[in-house]
Amino acid sequence: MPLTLPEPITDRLINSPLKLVVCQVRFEETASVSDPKTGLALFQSLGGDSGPYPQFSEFRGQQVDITVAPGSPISAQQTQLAGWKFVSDDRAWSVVIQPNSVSLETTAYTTWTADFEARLRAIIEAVVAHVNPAIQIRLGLRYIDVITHQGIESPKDWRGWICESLLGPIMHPEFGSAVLSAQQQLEIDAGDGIKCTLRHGTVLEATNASPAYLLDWDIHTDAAKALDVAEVFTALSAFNHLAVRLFQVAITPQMLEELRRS
Amino acid sequence: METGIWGQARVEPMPALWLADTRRQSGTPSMSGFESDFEGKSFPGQQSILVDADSSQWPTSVVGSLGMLEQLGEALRQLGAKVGFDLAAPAAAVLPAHRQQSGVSALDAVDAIVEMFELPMEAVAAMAGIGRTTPMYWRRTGTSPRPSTVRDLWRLYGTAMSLQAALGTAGTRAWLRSGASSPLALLEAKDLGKFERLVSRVAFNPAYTRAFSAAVDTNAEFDVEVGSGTPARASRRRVRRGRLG
Repeated sequence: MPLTLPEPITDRLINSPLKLVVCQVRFEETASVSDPKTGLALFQSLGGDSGPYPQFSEFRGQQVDITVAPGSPISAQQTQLAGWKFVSDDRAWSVVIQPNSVSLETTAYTTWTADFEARLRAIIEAVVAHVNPAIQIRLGLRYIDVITHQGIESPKDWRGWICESLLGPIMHPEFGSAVLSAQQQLEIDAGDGIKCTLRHGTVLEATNASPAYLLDWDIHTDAAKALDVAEVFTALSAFNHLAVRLFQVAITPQMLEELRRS
Repeated sequence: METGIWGQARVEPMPALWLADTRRQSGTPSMSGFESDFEGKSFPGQQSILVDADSSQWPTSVVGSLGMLEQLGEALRQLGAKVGFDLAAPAAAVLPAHRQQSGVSALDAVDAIVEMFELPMEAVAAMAGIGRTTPMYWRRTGTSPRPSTVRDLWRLYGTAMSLQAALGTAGTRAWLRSGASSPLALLEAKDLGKFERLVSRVAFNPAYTRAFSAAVDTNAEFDVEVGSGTPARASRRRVRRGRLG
């Protein structure tokens, strides 16, 4: 069944709950990324000291892939990574380029068209110019929304603000009111090889223990293909559009109005 | 230089899903450890975190803590964790002070397990599937093993860290030697997989850990039954705390 969603309201939300946005392009292992000359060339391509990401550092670490499955031993695999990290002065934007991926992450997202897309395009074009990966292995765009609202004291209070279908067990007539927390992960097939992993549920913000509702959207495609910058951005625009539409059906019209209100 | 850890862990709740999904790639990771800003977020499915650390971090302690990812969010909360430094604290606590400012080496991991489990180094090495005198060789020559050599050592270290976080050092030592068929016997039999499953059942079961801690405090003993949830108090015998070897 193709996914059909209503066209979204595209106003910029005054009270946006968007806390973090990450976009990552994975490609085949390209050892030249670790070369300091490559790191420096990438840094200069993005403006160097006077660019938007003037804090330049080596990024060295380990990728840890751990799988836990019933009836099987926990398996862990470590992979050494070496790459580069460029960060804005206010630390709200960071770029990480590794031998098998490039990513842009921000806590200061405004809009796709006016800001994020242009930044990402400059980064990916720099990677193509200096690293020249051939294959796009995975493309992911992740939006993390954290919704808070006055008067929310328990999970059931999200009724009327979050779509009841997502609230699920919280709406149970017998035990719903006793639910202290609920989280769920959904895998959504959006068609054309695009999938969305939605992790959602009630959370407490660690800083002040205030109740919040998390909507963590990871829209992605896993199909390997030739890396083409134009196609990457066509796909990402579609991801962005899908994310907006999904978000707006995950919350109630009442909540959307609250978020639009100044 | 900045160092970091990408931690991408997958927990598959249902065997059918797991079988169908083993080729799925891990998700789009965030750099900021953003997920750790929330309490009570413990998703049963795929978990992806990215821990951004500097050189004083303990990569393997993160591996260790991630090793019991059935309830990652809860585990992080119980460790009082912001992902990264706080996760490292249990590892640091069992190592000599002069080792607490650098990354965990394989030798550090052996030493930590020796200290926490109160076992001879040779016994720990055997449990981790490495030569009984190999750690001594690392110490003498300053060499580092190949990752494939110490894969089981890190698994063992991970479970040790998880146990310590849940039961404390004394509790861990007591638990290892409790019951008619003790968890330690599983390690002696080199059944690390079964040991990990047992640890996952107790380390993230608050009822168990509370009850066990109370039992340790009163020198009571619990029978350890693989597959049981909350332990049953078995007797008032003192916990046997002998050393192997």
